[in-house]
Amino acid sequence: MLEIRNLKVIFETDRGAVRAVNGLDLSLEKGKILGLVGESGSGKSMTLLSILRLVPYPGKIVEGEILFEGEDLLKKSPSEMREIRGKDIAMIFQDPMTTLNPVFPVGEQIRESLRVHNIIKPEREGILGFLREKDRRKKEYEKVVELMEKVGISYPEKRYFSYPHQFSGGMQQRAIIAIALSCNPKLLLADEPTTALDVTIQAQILDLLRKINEVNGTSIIFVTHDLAVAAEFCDEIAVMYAGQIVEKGPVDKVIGEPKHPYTKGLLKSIPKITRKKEKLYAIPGNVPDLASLSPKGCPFYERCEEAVEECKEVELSLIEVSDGEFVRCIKYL
Amino acid sequence: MREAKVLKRVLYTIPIMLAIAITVFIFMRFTPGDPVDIMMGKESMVSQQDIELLKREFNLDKPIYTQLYIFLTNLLKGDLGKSITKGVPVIQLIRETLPATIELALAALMLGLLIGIPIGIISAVKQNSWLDRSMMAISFTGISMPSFWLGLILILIFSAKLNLLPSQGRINFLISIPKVTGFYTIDSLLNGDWEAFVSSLRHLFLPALTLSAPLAAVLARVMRSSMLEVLRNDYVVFARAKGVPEKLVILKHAVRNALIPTVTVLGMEVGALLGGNMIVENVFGWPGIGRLVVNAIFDRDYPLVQGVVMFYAFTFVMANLLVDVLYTYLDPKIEL
Amino acid sequence: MTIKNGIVPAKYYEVSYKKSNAMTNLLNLLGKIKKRSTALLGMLIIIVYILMAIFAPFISPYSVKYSDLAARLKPPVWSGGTWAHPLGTDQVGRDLLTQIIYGSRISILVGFLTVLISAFIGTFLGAIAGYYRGTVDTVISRFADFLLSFPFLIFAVGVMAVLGPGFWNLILALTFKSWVEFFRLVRGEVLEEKNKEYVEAAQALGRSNGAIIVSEILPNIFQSIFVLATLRMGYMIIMEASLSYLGLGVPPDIPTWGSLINSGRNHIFDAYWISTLPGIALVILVLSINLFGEGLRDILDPRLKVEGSE
Repeated sequence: MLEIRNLKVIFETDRGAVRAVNGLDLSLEKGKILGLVGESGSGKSMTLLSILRLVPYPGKIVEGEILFEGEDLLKKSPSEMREIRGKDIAMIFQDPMTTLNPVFPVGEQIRESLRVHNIIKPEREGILGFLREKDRRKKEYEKVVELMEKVGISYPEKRYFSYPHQFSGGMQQRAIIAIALSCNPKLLLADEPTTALDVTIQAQILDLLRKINEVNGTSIIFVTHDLAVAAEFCDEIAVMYAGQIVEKGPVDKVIGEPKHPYTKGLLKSIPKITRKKEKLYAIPGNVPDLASLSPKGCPFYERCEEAVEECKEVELSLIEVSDGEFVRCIKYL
Repeated sequence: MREAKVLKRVLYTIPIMLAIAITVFIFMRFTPGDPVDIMMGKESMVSQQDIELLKREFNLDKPIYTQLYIFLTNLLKGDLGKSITKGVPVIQLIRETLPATIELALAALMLGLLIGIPIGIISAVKQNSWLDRSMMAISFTGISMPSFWLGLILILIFSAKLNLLPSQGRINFLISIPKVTGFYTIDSLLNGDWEAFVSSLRHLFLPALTLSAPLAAVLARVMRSSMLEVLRNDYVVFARAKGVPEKLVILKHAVRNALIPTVTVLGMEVGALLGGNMIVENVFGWPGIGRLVVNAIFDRDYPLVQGVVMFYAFTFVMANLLVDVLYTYLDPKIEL
Repeated sequence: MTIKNGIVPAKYYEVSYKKSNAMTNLLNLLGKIKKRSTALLGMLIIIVYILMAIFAPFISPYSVKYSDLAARLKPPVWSGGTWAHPLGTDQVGRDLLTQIIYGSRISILVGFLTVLISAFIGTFLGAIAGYYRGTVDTVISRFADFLLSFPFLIFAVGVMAVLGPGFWNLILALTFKSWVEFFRLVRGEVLEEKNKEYVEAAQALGRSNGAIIVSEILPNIFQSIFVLATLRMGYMIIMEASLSYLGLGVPPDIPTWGSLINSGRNHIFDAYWISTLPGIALVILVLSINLFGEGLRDILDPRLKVEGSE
């Protein structure tokens, strides 16, 4: 249902062009959950924003195709794109505390997404437009209450009129999910939806997302920096590094038999609960500066423990190593 | 909840008003010579008896705390004393000139908001475009320009050179309209007198524009910077991701938030508006309290000066109260 | 870097500027100002004005007392006047150029002195209130709040009405309220700085409170005070001119831009130059100060917000 081909996003800064997304290929089948994993700054969020064509200035999508149900989103007009946003493709943000508009009641913000996509159509009968509007509002209100109930917000009739700051972080994220669900989207983009929350709340939110996936058949792209969470939650995993996918495949393949040195490093750095006091593993070095990254060679070269001289020069693309499993590394050439 | 907070805020103004009144009273005591001396200064042929009589009339024969007490109780009754030069109660003079001042101030406030806020919004949305740059350059010049000079320049262009608009007064002196509200623009409309309405509007335009210029400039700058701040917030991106049309994203989601800091500044700007009012009324011969007080200063009519200054300060306090109350409706998080 | 559409990559705006000792890097600062063309232009024009004020007797074509009733209302050269009076003359035959040059003295002096005194008082009281809190803080803060309930110009007019015209009266009337701005800035900053490690360390070392305020805290907030002072100076010059315009400034025999503009008021229809030219001199100066101040703010203290003209 979604296929991204050779996506490139560039940020023009004073220090030169930053390639935030650099030739990304990705695909997702209907009803599946795809985990997009990587360190911060690897271009995960930019990939999601690109799908909605909301890359912030001075960023720009310079190349590629984003096929959603066979149609290229990058060729859509702004108004067609607006129709798609929130209706066919919805997005959840990382920090619920800053995602809701602080000056409007939560319920009204959910109702707004029903309104902008005309979910409740105005009735044709009725003599006065005023009455129709009132009626429509009432129906929307009822639908909002239903949605709030569905995502686990108790006392929705009362909470409808609460302001975001009167909600806890978990409750805010539920409200945001209610907004995302309001138009029954086909694809849900979740940008680290649990990072800002307590561990117990995290589990609840993940359960809620899974339920949505199972009940509505909504496909989900789940962005996280936490490979452990992704392993538990997703059907497929794509690992991102420096704006590229370095490895992707079914979850058991990627987690069970990681191929790319970067994936291996990420897996090793997950702390395990054991009695033994082990030193935590960390991948050496830092995420490379995308502005000064050499266009040639493997971007992970400098930090890679298995690097060889050729890595500096090689032109790589994703290599299919087994059915549905791809890796971008010289070793599998 | 909100009502309780508002009430608390209202009660808070009482000690401030009291402090203003006492300060003004004390300042009066500093004035060189008491009112009676000033009054008598011009006429040397007065008997000691007359002076005593006058002193009694102004309560100057009583101890100072009694005078303060009388001053404050009179103030509560709305009695601001008597003008020395005009011989009528100060409150009556204020009441006569106030409609002119309010009409001018409201017109300027409206112009300032109507010019400043949209410019701020457009500048922020089109950040760094030539439009943004030129509007910000103009508003920067606007805050660096004294209003009396701007007023004179406008008179020079629109009255002296182009002969388009009148430069002095509120209305063509040949026209008289019955007083209802005291606002000439409204009274002339109520009276159905189209000619008077046009004349009063033409007289109002230049002073209102002059008075509104610094306000508009400041509002445009504040609105622009708070819009820029708001626009980088997640909830703006989220609103777009919801499929909200761009126009609504800006005008509803962003503007509503950007107005919060702007209103704070508006509160402070009321003070500038009141001060500017005094200047602008003098430039354009506008018969309001601003001209009243400046004339009173040169006439050494201290009760009148004190009354008007106090009136200005009270108005400022009330305006800030109003802004704070407005604030609670704009920002759900606010604690008064 | 340029910030467009309000979206800045996180790492740019999270960079907080480094606190450094006052005055030690003046050269560094000048280097940064040089890169901002508007701030640099502002600074150069300010310098020209200051030189003009200092050397007024040498550069003015006439003496300040000179007036020639026979040469009344002469237009400036571009309006058909002669080079004898390049900017024309006023209604009593004084040379406008001379008057404008001398007028810069009062504007600059008043602007500078009021800001200096206000900054001094405000910093002193703000440091005390912020450092010691308690009753001192409450009393000064209440008083400051109270002063803020008067519109600035109204307050100044009221004070001048009582005191009468005069240079020091003018300074007093303008300073009476304007220290509050500095007080609020310094108090806030001191409250913030007080809890930082370096202050706690100094306290642990047994240094006296006064020494901590003067030698530890103030150098760290000096830049903010300096920026505020620059930005307030333009406003003070406008206020001075406003009072002079109303005839409530210095005694009428001292030339000021405000009183020049006022004297040309009644001749706006037949001798526009008397009012407009001193105003242009004033606007250019205030504009330059504000440009310089904004540039300084961007360099030294991007967090500082000075909005509104009250």
